[in-house]
Amino acid sequence: MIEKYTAVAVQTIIRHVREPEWREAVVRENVNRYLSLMDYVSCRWGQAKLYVLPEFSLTGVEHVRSVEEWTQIAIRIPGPELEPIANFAKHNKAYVAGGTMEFDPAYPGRWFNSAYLFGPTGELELRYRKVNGADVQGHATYSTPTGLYDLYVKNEGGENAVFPVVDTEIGRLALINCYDINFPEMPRTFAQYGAEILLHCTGEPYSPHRDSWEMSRRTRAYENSMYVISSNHGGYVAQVAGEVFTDSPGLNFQQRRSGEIAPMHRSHGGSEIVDFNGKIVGQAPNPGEALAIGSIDLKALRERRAEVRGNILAQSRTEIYAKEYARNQGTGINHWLDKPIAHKSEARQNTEAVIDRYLKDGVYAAPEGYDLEIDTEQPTALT
Amino acid sequence: MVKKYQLACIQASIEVIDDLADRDAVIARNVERGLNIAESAVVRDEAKVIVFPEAWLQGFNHTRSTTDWQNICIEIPGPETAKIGEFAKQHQIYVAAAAFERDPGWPEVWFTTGFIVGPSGDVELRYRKIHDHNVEGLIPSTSPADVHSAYTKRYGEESLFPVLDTPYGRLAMMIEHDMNFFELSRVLTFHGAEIILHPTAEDNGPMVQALNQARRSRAYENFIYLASANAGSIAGKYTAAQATRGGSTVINYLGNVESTIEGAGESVLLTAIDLDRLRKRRTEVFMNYPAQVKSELFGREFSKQTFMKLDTGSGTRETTQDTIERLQEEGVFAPLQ
Repeated sequence: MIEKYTAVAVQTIIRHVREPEWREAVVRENVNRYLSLMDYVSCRWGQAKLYVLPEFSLTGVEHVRSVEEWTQIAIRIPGPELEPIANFAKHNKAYVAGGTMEFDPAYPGRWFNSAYLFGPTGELELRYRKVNGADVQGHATYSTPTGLYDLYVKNEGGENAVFPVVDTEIGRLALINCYDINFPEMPRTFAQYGAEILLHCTGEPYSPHRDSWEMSRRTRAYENSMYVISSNHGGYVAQVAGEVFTDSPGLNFQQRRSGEIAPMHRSHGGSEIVDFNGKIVGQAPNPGEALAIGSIDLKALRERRAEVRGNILAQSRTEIYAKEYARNQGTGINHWLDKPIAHKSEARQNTEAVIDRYLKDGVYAAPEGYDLEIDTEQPTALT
Repeated sequence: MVKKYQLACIQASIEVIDDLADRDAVIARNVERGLNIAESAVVRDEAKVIVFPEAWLQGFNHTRSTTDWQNICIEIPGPETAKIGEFAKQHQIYVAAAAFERDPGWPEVWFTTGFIVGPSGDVELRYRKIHDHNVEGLIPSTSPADVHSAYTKRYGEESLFPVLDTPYGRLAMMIEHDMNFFELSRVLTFHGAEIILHPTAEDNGPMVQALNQARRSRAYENFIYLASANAGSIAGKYTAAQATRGGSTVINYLGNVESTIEGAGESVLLTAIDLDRLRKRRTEVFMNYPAQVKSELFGREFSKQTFMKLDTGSGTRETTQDTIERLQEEGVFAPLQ
């Protein structure tokens, strides 16, 4: 066990695969930039043991892309695109995590919003697939393990495959993506499987919720006596081979793309390392390329978990709530077991159905004048 | 339904029962002083829901013997809640508080109990604290979780998570340490809660910032109002009166601080509760956490039960200590080197 070491959240300007034929060049450019920044860390700050890159760190995100096109653009984990990152981990005897859109031939017609972790042997240590997000929000078409739960746990070797944790010399590591952080049930379940350090690959836009997401990660760290390392984008640009595209074909609404019309500082940055008491120990408070560097004190975390006073994690009595969770269902599982998600609006209907059921069952009370039969139109949100 | 109204947290000055002989007099003084302040909030500001801190009637004295703890307990309902009930009935309002309670049908144990007295003058909701500090050895009380099988046999499972439907929204309660456990506010939300009244007892210390963050998270995750009433001072033979941090706070359904008192001292916090806007927010798809939570998934995972067990018997410091050791043995917690 390494008692104390340096961790870094690497915050970059993500290049975006706007046209499918850009894929190779853009992915390479993104990867090269990560390698440069991680090299910079070792030159400037000395060796770090753990690096975390943001969500969809290789290809960028495209909210209006078809499932078919995504399966072409998404990458494999492991795969040739990630080899330079695996090699960096091996060469530097470090751990490197990041998020990416993923295609797995075992699941044809689907793609995942995933995260990876490579270790000092250069091997893949973890692969996580996002559980919460597009399948309830309706902003993209990726699949989640819960959408095809029965098939997924059968293929992947059990229910715990949804919540993978790896035991390493630098602690027990787990991965989550972006929106997952807002559900306290996620880190708690990972804690049940032993997680001590949660690597949060995120892509958080500026929004009224910015402050709330920061609060979420600090609360998650506090209530689970867990480190949370959140790596967010510093910005977002449609760019290939060093050229910023200024001709904005996004204005052609016949072939709408979201990437190239996004403001560069769509993301708020704010990458953070939060300790097991919910306190910030590393921070890149602004957008732009930046590093959030902090010290991970694994020994102190383990000592904290052995203390009686305020040990919320040990004192948690999940059993008393298990039945209540099972009985009062929010969003269910297995929505796309038989047929992959084809259009993002299907996901939105999931949440609409639960809200309607809640209003009918009295879990939610209707606001004055609310007509249950009228389906209210709301703008789709980007997360 | 009243779309918008005023809620008042009474940051009370609490007198501690140090001598058992003074029990009734101290409780009477605490109730009288608290209700007098509440009356101002009701008459001047038209407050409709009033929240008092934990231990408002009896105060904390951690040197108390186990027998004395039992003897300072009140019954709920009982003469003390009847007195509060007169006030609630007279003004047609809701008053929430938490007290140390003995159950006449179950003399071996006592609880930390939240109650809401309504316009009927009666106790309309009784919630017994699930996450008590007994498991840290701070107080020799019992939680329904400690005696879960016997408790649910006697009172039914539905008694654990009560919600009261009122013209001022669906009210539920958490007490102090409860707030740290996200499952409770989530389950109360599943049961319809919109406004969680949180009598609390929080001292100054290194965890203040974490508690404030957690408080906001509870509201944000569930689209609830969370009204935390903390003591303004706790005066007794063994207490530093302003060790309590005050800081009573109301968080709105977006997770933002709606209003707060800076620091300790006897005070009142009035806050407008916009019930209609809370209900509108809950009908929106975007980031609708209580609807989007994959509860079936977590029902499965949580039933695997790896943390503190139920039916431990009345919690003591050893309950947490034993849990930690078991978790280390099972490998859920890494062993200390």
